[in-house]
Amino acid sequence: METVIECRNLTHYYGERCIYENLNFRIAKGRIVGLLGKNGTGKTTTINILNGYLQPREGECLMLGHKAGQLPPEIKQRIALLLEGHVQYAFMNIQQIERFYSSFYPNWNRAPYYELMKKLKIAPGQRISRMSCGQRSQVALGLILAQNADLLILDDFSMGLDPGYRRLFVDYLNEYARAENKTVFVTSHIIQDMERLIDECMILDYGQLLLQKPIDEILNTFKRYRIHTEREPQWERLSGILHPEKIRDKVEFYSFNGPEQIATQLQQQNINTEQLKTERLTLEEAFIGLTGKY
Amino acid sequence: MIKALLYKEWLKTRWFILGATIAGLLLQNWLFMKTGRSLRLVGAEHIWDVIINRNQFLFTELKYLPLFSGALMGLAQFLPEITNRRIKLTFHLPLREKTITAWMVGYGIGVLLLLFILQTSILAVGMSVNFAPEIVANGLLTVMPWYVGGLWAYLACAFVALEPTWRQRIPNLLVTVALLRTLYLSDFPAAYQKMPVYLMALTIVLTLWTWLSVYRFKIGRQ
Repeated sequence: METVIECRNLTHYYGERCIYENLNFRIAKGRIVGLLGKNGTGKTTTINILNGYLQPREGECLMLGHKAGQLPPEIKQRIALLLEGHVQYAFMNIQQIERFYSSFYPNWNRAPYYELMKKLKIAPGQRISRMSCGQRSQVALGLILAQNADLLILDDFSMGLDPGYRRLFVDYLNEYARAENKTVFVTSHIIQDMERLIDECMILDYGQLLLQKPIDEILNTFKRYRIHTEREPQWERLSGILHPEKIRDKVEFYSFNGPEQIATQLQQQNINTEQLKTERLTLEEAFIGLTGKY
Repeated sequence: MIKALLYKEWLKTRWFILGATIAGLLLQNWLFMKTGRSLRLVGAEHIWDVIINRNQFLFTELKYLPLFSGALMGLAQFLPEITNRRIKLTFHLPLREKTITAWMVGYGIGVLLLLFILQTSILAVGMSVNFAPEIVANGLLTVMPWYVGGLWAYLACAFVALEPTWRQRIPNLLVTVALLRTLYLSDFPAAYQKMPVYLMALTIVLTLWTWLSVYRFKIGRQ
């Protein structure tokens, strides 16, 4: 399958602080991929590197086959970008901004933009600076849809949005991307609603990429286990256990291992597993299970 | 695309352009009224004597008008770009960064040149009503560094505003203020008449410095 984004051996530091080392990933055409991570794990850094606003200390990224930071104008035309906070030219009104961008993109389609603007019930002459965060997000989304790009990059689109606007954003984007076979690369630290949007998930933790897997695979295989036991298991002797926690007699941990394998390992430590509970997780719970609460 | 880019610059600066044009016209109108009144009250001979023998320039109130015009033009154009790092949107437009920067700065310089040409033309025409061509020419040479100062103030704003880090902005600001200061060292009429090559060379250098800030932004200096 055609690769749209590829990062090889990406390493970046801010001063002495390592953001990540040897980060490698590929995003195939037509996929909706979410880069998830806590604050400060390097999500926006990755977006900045991809768009040429930052040179990594080592490694390189390719977008649509071209080196990030040296994208020719005809490639930039195929990439739509949403900046963190839905930043747009706030001194323009919704007509001016549509008129402005339409000159830059040959496949510009104003219909979806004005369809979204109708929902906002705002005066055509109202400046973007006088809109709410939710309204601004819809303007930014409308412009991205109108650009009709092959690759959409959205940096922390959910920031500052109330649940209604977040859901509207996700549903619109989801329907558009799937209908038009667009590739979407989205970052977020709010995991709610992401299950409705992405089909593949990359999780960044401090300094490394924890995993890149399809959402279904994560949700089907990554489980939370709970058991009541007085004795705390010897965690170092158990393989594939993540973020174990014991509060009083309740033990909780996460794992990609199946229940049988977990039960066998616990039994080897003479722990009664009759009450071992296996729980299917939401993406948000899986994220916490993989990255920890702290 | 270039037309759209210039449209964006126009939207940001149109109120400044209107305000600066009106302010310039009002100030010049007031200066001409003041000169006319002096000519009537003390006589043309005395005014000519003041200009020729005592080396006085009658329009010193114009001194900082171009400087403020240039600085305000720079702020009107570049503050919206650096607010919320909106410049990222501009550099994501499907044009080369050098092309975008050149057109943005070119637009600002073009607007200021038009404004300054309008002001100096009015000054020349207004002065020629009462004074000999030699005095008019001397007057234009006197205001020349002030108008160059207007262009430098604009370029300094671009250079400082586009610089991505505050740590570097401060030395940039100090260097450009020091450079600007050199244009206001003397009020002696036509004091800078032998320096147009130096002024032009430094204007070009300052224009290129803008690209230095853009380059630093591009490599992600933080």
